[in-house]
Amino acid sequence: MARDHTSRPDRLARQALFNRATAAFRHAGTTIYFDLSPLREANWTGIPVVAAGLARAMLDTLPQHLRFFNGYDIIDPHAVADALRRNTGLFLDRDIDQGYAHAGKLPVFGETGHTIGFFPSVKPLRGAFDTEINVFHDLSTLTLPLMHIRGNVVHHTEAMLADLASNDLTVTVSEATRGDLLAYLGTDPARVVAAPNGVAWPGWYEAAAGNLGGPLGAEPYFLILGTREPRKNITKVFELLEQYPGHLETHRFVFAGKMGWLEEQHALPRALEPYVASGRILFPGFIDEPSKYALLRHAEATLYPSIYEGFGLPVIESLSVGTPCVASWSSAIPEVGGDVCEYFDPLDAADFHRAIGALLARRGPALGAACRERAQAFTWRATLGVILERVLVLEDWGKGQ
Amino acid sequence: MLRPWSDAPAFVLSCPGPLRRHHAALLPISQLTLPQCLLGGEAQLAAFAASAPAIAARAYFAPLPEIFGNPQSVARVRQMCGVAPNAARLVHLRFGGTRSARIMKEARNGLVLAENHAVPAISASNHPFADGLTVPALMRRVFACATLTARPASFGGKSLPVSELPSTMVGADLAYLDTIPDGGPESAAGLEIVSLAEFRSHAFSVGPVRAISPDLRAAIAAAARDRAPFVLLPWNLDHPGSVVPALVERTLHLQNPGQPAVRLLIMPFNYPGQTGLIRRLIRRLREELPNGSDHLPRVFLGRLARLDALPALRRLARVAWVDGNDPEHDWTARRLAACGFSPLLLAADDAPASPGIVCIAADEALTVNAETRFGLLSFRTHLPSLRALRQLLPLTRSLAVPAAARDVPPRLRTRPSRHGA
Repeated sequence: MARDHTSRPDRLARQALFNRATAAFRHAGTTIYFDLSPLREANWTGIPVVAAGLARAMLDTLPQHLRFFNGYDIIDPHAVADALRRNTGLFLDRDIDQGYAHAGKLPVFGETGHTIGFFPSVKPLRGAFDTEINVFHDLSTLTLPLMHIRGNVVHHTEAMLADLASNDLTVTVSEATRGDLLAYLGTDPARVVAAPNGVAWPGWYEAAAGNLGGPLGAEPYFLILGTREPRKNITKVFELLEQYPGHLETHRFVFAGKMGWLEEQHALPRALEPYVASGRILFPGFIDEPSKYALLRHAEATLYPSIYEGFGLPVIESLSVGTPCVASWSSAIPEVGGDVCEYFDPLDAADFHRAIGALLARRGPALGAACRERAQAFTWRATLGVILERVLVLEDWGKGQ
Repeated sequence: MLRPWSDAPAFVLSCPGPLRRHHAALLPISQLTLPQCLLGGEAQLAAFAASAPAIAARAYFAPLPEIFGNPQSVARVRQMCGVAPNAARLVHLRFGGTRSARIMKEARNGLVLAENHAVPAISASNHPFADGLTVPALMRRVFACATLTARPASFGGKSLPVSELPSTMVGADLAYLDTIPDGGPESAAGLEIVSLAEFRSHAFSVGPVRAISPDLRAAIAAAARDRAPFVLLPWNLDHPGSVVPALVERTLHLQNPGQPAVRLLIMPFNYPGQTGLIRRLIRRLREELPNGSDHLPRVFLGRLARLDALPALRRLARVAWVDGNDPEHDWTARRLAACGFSPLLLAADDAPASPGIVCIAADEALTVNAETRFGLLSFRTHLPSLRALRQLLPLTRSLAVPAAARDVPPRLRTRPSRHGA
């Protein structure tokens, strides 16, 4: 079950909201159809993580009103629950492909109750439900297309307008992304709500990380988490290390994340190659969730130089385990990091160096506690609460239901 | 020049371009260095700043205005610009094409436009900005620095007020060149030229290209003997319907690599920081031309990184062929003329042209299909036929020699502008 660490008044208010929503759904015979297509990925980062967080929150809150679908097919909820437990879509994808997980057809014809389609990303179909809700994560394929491969740009931008037009409610993961929708596409502000992402870890991760000790022994290290793609601006870390190699004397640098696309895949400057050979710079590649937790938990700090983010999941993941973060002040990141992060100009290596120094000067238990406190506001139940509140307004289901 | 927004406490200017060249998200305009300053959005930005000193004094450059999306970053911009928190909103002016228009949230946004999409692309794409005539919803005004017969609308179809910028802007940043001596070899330091055979993607991306091209040296020596002139060929990399690759291929088909009639010096502009189009051109020439690789050392790519090097470029080439299908062709032709070149506009009969620009009939229809980040776009374009090219070559050669010796073939149609000479 996804835990809710927010304040007690917030939790009580949210529970009242969930009760109200449940009553309204029961009264209207509502079923939420959740598009699980992002969950079919084997390695969950970014959008699949958001989809999984929301799926878990809905399963906790509205299980009797929730069904999962893929394309035109209903999918066995046990197969989905299994994927959510395993944190991978590896087996779910196989079971869908081979037809094992199918549990009937999407009831576009013949459903008597009210249907809500919930799409965590690009909509594979439109107009199948009475009400359609769609999550927009960022507009980077529109505003920064050169940082993506063309297929990805076309996939997102081709669907963008049709998705927006068919949405009754568009959910963005931050105010910054909501602002982008308004600024570029003139979307009706009344139909767009910002519902920040959450962060949740299984309870045993903390015990496991504690038992292991630091994955790199006692040596301090900075963790740079994210897919290696241009938008993540990993080259700015390389530039920092070339200009200020002293950082490599005091800290190891761990770049964890799967290989992405474009030139970031081979952008390590020659001057830094000896540090890779000596183990001062590490590239462990994609890491699973327990390993990520352990790396986060024991890092001196995380570094997040991203040029543009719809939200910035690694920032909140870092804060949630009490590890401070040095992040760029771009786009949505400060919405997530609040006052506990140190921010820098994502194009300026000198400012990056300054921010690391400033953070190291603040380090200590108080900063760790402030990080955890900041992260407590970001739960998937809180995300779902924002969405359901707007659904109740949208459907004109007042408090009396 | 920007009367509606004269109360702005500071101006943020931006244009598309390679990101890696900039080492801060906001810098005073006086500290700005651009990969090239002869053509395109970058030259328009430089010319604009030079023509409006009062604005330039409080102007900054932002490589990525779209990243200022939250109160913290906006506050930082205002702080860096020395603007009080309660002062009027900043003004963000975007240069470059409509498809690349970007917004700085919390600012008043205007588009300085030299594009005229008189013949819009045919597109089945659902990309919001595929048609080239739509700009972001929060764009509030257009400032035109070229003739606009097709006016962009903000997303949703709302037409935007258009103010025309003074025509003198086209060469405003060139004025200082009159005050410096037309220097020797050292003044060529801002002129980067490599042959297509010497082109290396990474070196060109990161730039500047400092090494003197051996192929260029050889070509200059050969030109002194055979009198085949260098011809500038501006190439708008932000226009997927450009006929420049087709024109290069066709021109090379007509000449023996060892005995060229003209030497093409391609000047890419609106350079996005990726070299895919250039690499694709090289591959095309290698594959489509007989002995294609033999041509590559004799075709050049150039960019003018500093205006100081303009005299050196003028010594190398006097004539430019301008793609009349390019939505920026009007500004490009006028800019080249202001820089002291003789632009020949290769345009269809009905293409608008500025007074004094010599037009050459691009009389062969060509549909250019391009897979772009905006989806599949098709452009109905015009290319000079073989017959027109045969006539273009002697005119080019005649314009490449001093004015007194020029001999324009009478059969070659040069069309007076509709706007009058």
